[in-house]
Amino acid sequence: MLSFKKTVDIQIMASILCMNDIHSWEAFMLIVENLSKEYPLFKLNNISFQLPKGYIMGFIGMNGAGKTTTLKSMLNLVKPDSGTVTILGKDVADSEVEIKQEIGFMLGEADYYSKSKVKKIANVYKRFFKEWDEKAYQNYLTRFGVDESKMISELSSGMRVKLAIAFALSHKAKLLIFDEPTSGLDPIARDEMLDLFHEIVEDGEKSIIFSTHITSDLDKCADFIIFIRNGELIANTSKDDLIADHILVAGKKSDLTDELKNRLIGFKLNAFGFIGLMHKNNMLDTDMLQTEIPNLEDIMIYYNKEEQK
Amino acid sequence: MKNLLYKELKLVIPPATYLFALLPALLLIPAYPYFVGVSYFFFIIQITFATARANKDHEFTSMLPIPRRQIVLAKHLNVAFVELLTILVAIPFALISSLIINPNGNIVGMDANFAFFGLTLIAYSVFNLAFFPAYFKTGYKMGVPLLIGIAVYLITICFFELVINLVPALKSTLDGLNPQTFIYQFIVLAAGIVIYVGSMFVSYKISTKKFEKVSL
Repeated sequence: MLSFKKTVDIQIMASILCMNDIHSWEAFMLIVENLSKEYPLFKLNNISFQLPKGYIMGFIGMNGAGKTTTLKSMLNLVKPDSGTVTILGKDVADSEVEIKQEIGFMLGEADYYSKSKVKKIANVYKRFFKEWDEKAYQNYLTRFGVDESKMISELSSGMRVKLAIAFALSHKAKLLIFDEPTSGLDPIARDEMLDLFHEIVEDGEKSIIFSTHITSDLDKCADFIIFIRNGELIANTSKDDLIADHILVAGKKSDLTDELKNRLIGFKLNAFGFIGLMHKNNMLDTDMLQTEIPNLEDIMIYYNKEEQK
Repeated sequence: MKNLLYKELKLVIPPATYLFALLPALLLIPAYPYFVGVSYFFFIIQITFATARANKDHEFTSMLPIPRRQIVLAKHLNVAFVELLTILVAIPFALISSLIINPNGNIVGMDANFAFFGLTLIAYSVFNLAFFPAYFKTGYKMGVPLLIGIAVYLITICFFELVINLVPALKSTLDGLNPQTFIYQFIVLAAGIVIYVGSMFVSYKISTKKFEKVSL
């Protein structure tokens, strides 16, 4: 549960996020501006967002929406056609090496050299980082219960994510970027991971951005949400604002007029009538509909219906 | 560079490499084409690159705080290690073969003299120049690049054998173990070293340019 102070902070940050001309590195760990990448059958179109210092940002979208492409473009693993990415005040295109000293990232399953022992990989990895803290690394391994003498293939998915986090925190990374870190985890491991994410940002000096299609993870721990659909940015706001701006409505089939359909983002028919999602400010006093607060999954699903519409 | 080589040795080059690296021992077979004896390096490269791809080696390297061109450098260091190891292992076997097993010279090809190792380095250079730029066009497809590399390598060594056998002036100076011809053989060896280093540099430059455009 968020403290009252943090909720207020998020609201202030959310209002700053809307002011696109503010690019203070003190405030933002990550600034993505007009990122575009075109493939023959897919286009990542003008993605812009900022991640404030000390917060967790969730990156949602259905499979194939462009989450991984965005994350890879941010890290120069995919060359964007246009746009800039600033991490810790430095342009990624110019300062990739310096930036990588200060961030930790894991894209996909951390299953590199699966038949090598953790210790062997760590012995290589640590040599490349100026700020490697061996004592901290050993402490994280003990805390996470990762056995260094095991091979990567012997670690569970949860352990692999924890190992990636141990690697990142041991070189004092300030920004952690994960692509679907919770997708292969059981509910208990996911919950542990989300608690760990909270703990990491607690000191206000580190931020995390992670993509997922498991929206309940974000209900639990994200402060900000980036929502992408088919390469287009749908939402870039605080989680609370995103939810507060939308409302689930339900009614009889006879209530579903063409005028109402136009106001709905998306809807689904069922045996009793329909359920749909709309922007709260599109709700009229004259609407005689049942209402409910949506969760992130509802928002994602009904926005997908909008696209189908 | 030291850290990259360490990474290649610890995580990428499989232990079987060291077993394959002993294959130049085949030079001990009497009347054996010596060029074949130093040609087994591409088995090692095939195993190494295929294992690296399965182990998501490029993905791991891209997590490290190094520029992308160093992923290319790491692979060049890797192959240079394998090729130079092959030559280093071949040298003592070549000596034994030349001095004890075939003291009157090899009847099926060049003798393992200084020129032989110079020409081997040139053939390796041709392989590297063909293989690396083709490989780094994608960073993961290695079948066709390897086939191209092996093809031009084999053509090169066949060409060397033919020319030395057909041109009497070359046969009398570059073949055989006559100390009076060592000066010419040293020149070929020196040229081989220069060409090898130059080819690595050129291959690195071209491969980097290609790999910069690849999406990882």
